[in-house]
Amino acid sequence: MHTIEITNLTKTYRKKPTPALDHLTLAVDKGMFGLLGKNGAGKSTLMKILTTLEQPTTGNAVVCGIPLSQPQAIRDLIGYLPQNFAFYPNMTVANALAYLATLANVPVRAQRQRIAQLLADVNLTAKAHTKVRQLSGGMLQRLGIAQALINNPQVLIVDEPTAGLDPEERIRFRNLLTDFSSERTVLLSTHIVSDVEATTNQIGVLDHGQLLFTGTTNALITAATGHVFQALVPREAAVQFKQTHQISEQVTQADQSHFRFIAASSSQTPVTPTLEEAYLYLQTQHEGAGV
Amino acid sequence: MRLFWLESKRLLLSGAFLIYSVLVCGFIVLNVNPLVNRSLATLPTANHYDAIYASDFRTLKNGVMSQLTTEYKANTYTTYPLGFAKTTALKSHERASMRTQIKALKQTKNRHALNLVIKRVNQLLGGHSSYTAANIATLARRQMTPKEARQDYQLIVTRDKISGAFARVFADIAGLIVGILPTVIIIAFCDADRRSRALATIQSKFASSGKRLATQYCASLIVLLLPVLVAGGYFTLRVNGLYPHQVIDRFAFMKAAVIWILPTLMISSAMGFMTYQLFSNFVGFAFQIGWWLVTTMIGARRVDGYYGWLLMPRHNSLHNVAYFYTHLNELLINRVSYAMFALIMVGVALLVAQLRKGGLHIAFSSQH
Repeated sequence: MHTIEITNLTKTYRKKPTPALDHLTLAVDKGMFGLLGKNGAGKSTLMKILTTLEQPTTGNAVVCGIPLSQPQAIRDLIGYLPQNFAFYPNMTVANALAYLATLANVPVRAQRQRIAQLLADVNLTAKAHTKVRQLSGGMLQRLGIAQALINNPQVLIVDEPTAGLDPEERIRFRNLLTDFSSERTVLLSTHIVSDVEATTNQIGVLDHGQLLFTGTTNALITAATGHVFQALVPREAAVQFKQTHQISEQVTQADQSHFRFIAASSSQTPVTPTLEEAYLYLQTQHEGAGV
Repeated sequence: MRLFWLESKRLLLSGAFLIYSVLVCGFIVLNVNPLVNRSLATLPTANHYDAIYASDFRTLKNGVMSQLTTEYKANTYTTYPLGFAKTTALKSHERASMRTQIKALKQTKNRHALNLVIKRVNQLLGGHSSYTAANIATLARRQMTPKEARQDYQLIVTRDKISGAFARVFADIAGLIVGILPTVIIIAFCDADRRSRALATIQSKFASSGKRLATQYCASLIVLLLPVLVAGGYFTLRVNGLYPHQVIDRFAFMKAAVIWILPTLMISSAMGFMTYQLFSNFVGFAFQIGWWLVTTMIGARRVDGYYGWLLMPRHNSLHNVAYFYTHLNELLINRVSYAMFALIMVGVALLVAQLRKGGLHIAFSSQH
């Protein structure tokens, strides 16, 4: 049995012509799973449905064998780090965790030890008595992950966790997530391909509420193989080249520009696609199909 | 219990509570202090008796007659729709009817006959006038007789045990501010979830919205009553110090806080929770201002003793004690009713909270 099983899930909003989720079917197993998609693809809607914050219009999802119709039982099993996590600014870090631990039904006697352990895990022990408003963006996200783990969840759902973090914090945060994924299911939603590339090889790609791809990163790259090329173009011809090709990378040196681009076919030299290029190729194909 | 403590702490440590405490304590102390300085230990001397609203037929009839004749001659009558004064003039045929009623008034021999006449007068004026069985007492204000003054003094010393008389004024004053401020404090408290972007995190936890809201409501009652209790404690000490040789009811202010003021607090707090669940903004404060204004205006007509169905029952007098004990049941029914109504409002808030998060959320939100 899969940890998360999503079947034919659809979510429509009034006043919006297209569904936020369109007959989505997906299975997620233990470990880290990356859900890639651009802004507005439906990732956050899916996260909110899985965390029982929103109701699907049709379809169903089961988390650890529990259907969405039992929201409290699901909330007991999951941890959630929402997009743009923040908390009461005047509360201290330790008090915020104590408050959320109480809401998460963590026994009072276990709270002190649990909070101390989590603060150590996310390297915030020294900030236990610091007010939330005084935390940096990275620290706030680490507090976010600590609160999501407060009930020792079987499933951790994180929505765009690295947005706004500097490179150092981003790497630290990704490592943290990878550590936690060894013992549980982590569903990582992001539009940043490098976050997924650095943490997992199991991914799904969402666009316009539809699942374009699910499988390994290698499979996605294989699908794009033969559709990514490189070309060396004189500087004066670069502008016109860019107008006629879908560029994935451009490096200009002296009087020449080195391009990598995506195309169905080309007379230029084919190269091994990166994950980002494979993702772009998939999006291009989807849009080219008229969706 | 843990959640109750954490919610209480969160409210206690908020800036809004600090401002609330200063305003409540300041308002009560500034308004009650001058009255506490008055001595109740001795019987007032002649010509220094307090005024009361009389209830005897003769005084009532004379009061109504005097007022109605004056208004009839000027053809200007004052009515009080929703407590706000409004002047009315009668047309010639209505004046003739009023003249007939004045003649009938002169002939009345008892309270029943008086009530029948004033009922017709009130109808002629379109309602909301002073000429109702409940309101004519406002037209019968006079100085206490020596006998009434002695009885008043005896009640203050024996039943009120001095502090009870001060506690009534304390409750009257505290009710005015507790009837309005908690609403905005509670709305700000609820809105903190949205302002601090904590809502999604909180809602993803095990505890239901209903449990959290009910806990927050209980915490708000205890925390927002604290400044009132502190002020009550201060006045208990003051009265004790002023009357060292008298028997004092040391719990009078606490009893007033719990029995008289708490139901008002329950309503103003419940209004905050309910309207925030319904509208997710500060519009509930406008509702409460309206309710408070109407109650204040209606109560203003008899500030030294008027309970009825007022959200903030009035008794802004150290005297009029007989009225208090005569109408004590009315006051208690008022307080219990408001407490129950507050619980109904919280019930509505709980229902809305569950609907927003649960199944029928779909019907109420912009999503389908």
